[in-house]
Amino acid sequence: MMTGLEITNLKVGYSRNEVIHGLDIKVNPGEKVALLGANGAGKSTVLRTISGLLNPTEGSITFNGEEIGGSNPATLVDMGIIQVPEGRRVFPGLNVEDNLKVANYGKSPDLLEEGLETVYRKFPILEERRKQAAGLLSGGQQQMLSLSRAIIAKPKLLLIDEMSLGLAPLLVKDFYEQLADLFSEDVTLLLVEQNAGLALKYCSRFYVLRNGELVLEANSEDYKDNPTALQSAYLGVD
Amino acid sequence: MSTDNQQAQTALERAKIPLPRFLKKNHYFGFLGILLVYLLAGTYSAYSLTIMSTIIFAIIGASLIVVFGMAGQLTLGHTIFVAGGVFLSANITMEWSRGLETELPIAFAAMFILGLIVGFPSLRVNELYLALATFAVAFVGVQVLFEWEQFTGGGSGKPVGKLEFFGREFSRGPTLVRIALIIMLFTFWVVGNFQDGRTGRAWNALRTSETAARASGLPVAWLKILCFAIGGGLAALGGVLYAHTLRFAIPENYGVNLSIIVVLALIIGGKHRLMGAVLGAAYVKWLPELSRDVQEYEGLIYGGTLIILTLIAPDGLVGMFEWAAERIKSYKKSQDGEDLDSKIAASNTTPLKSEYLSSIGSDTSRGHLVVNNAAVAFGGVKAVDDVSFEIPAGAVTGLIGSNGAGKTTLFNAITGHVKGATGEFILDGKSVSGKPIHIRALAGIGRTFQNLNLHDDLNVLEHALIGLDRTTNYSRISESFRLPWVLREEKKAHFIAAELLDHMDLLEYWDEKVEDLPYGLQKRVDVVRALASNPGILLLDEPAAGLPTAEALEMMQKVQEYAKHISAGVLIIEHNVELVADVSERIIVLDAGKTIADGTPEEVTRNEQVIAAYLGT
Repeated sequence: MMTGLEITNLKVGYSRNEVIHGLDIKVNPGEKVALLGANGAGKSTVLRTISGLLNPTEGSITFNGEEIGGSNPATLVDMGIIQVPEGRRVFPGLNVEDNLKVANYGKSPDLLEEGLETVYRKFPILEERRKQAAGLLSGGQQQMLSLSRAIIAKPKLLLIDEMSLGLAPLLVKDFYEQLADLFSEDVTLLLVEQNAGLALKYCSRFYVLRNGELVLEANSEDYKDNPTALQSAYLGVD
Repeated sequence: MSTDNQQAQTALERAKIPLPRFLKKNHYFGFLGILLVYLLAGTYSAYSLTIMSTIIFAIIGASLIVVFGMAGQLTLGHTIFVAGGVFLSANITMEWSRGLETELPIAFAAMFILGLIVGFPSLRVNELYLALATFAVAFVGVQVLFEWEQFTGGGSGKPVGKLEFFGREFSRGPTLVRIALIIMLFTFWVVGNFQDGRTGRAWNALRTSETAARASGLPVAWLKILCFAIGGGLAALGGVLYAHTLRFAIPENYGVNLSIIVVLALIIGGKHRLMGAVLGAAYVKWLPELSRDVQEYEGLIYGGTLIILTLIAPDGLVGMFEWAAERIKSYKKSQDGEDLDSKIAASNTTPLKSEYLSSIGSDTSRGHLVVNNAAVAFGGVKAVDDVSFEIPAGAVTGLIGSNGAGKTTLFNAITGHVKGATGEFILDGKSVSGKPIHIRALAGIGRTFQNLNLHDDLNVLEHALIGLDRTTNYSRISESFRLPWVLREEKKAHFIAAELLDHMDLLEYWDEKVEDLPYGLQKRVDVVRALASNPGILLLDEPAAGLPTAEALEMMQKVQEYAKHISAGVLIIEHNVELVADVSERIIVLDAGKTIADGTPEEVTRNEQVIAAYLGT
């Protein structure tokens, strides 16, 4: 049953306080949706809960009809739910190619060949540095590597936290335009993006989060020419 | 409280940040506890040996807090300082017939000096390797004791002379317990003073990130050696007491076993608090008293406790109590209906209150930076290839370029974080080329890190205070005795830190550990730490990454405002071109390690080469 990602009444908290207070989000199969909001609004927390790094205190998360809230991250990766974490999380001691191979863990080697080809075509610098320790890459190159791991992992549901972090504008644009090419046509995408302009340009719908609550759900079309309205939703000015 | 009222208050008062004081609440508890044992010392003479060894272990534990708890140097060689104290005591009392007035200062001084030497390996190796190196020191130490018969009496040991103080002889028993308590009070006072002062802060900083500590201008190498010296000196005081308790000094007692037990005791008790030294000492000394059976299985019990504690309470017994206390506190708060989030009035975007900050502002513009022929090569790759530019004092300059163009490496070359950089770097007429990182930081080069180099378990306020270390002015000796001007300087630093946090909208998070904060706020903490160091030029490496444009702009405006206030120049790496163009008077563009454009934002953003290499159409 292909129903995409469905989140109902999600509540998440860290040790002391609740951060997400009852959230409903739906991303249809093959749809590209952005999660926007000010710093500290809870966007990363939502992604981390979907990918199993955090457990929900209440509510349900289903992917294609299957309940996944609170599941083991490893199980979720096997299901094709892949997260690109915030802030360049590469394995600094492994070389570039080994970092990519890790993403193919448990899958057929043939898939790796194919994935590596796509990655090296997209980011030639990674091929040039394939035997170099990932920790020696520049910040932006590490982000490329982090994204490349997601390409290799062949996601069905892709969660990207801050994809444009530290990347040159030219690359960001490129990457967005070739999403369909780099991943499969029907990849379902939920991304957190600080650059609202970009998010609106490449995602069909978006949600705005403020202090752990949804304050706006809209089609990008309606806001493309009206950035001020979006700004006020962000900051809570009416 | 009305809004006007809040305006009039300083940030320090609004956030209810406790000021450094001469005596704090836990001081009173500590004094009370020690006084109680002092008065009761005579009544439990049957246990006086156990009481004595508990006190001695508490003293050694406190000295280890300096080395291991604060500076994070895992040492397994700490007993050689104890042994030094023991045998010096035996020799001074027997050979010179002198009393404590000679034993204590000489033991402290001699082991302080030995600490300076033992500390050396810590400059080269860390953690496990340091533990191994110091383990070897303990091993060699005990062998030396066995062989050096003149000093130690060899395997048969050496008797310890009378317990005297300026010729007055004391009986052992309760009197010795009282003397030990006084020495413990002294040790705890000194260690506690370091915990509250700049040296303790610096140790905490280097424990969590040496790179960042250097960038804040802290002399990391000296601080590391110093922690061994101070820890060694204090441990020797415990050694002197040990000598008088056992009355006989035998080398065999001070082997690697004891080294491991004292570390174990501190970990069980809690290595970040003086109370942890007491609890750990009590645990290892009183548990065997409970029954013979316990003694038999000592190793098993300590080992088991350690395993359980590392699993449930990494901060030891003290950590457990603190956790429980915090639970009760937050429960009470929720019962009172106090909203945790609104504990501080929203910082009503007031302009910078410079009247509070005048103490660090300077008159002239600073930050005139000249970079001549900077070059860095990694293997065959030229990351930075002959880059030269000059930044006039007080200017805001942008540095952009594609990924891997060498921007961060150029920063590292200026700050000294990369080895093998060539070229000349001159700040305000003084060359800093080839100097170590902290010297360049002290000369006025402040920086933030692309990959968040924060001190994870320290709070936001402490980060600002670490930055302020450069402008805090008191000696480590006056710090160890908490002299009046130490408090005065600390108050000033707290005051400035609070105002700076307020300005950067971080005041409400002042007591949060930085690792609990969202990414964007962590970046801001990094900026605050750099600003606090009152730099001549501030190098910001992607300060706005992870911030929405509006928030990033607001933050940069605040940074600029503050930089202007302290007359600092700013050099900023950022991929948000809109932001860079908005704040910079001039932009330098790097590509493949070379400068490809240099000019006003308008010129640069229209430059075809820049568009092709970086911006895109």
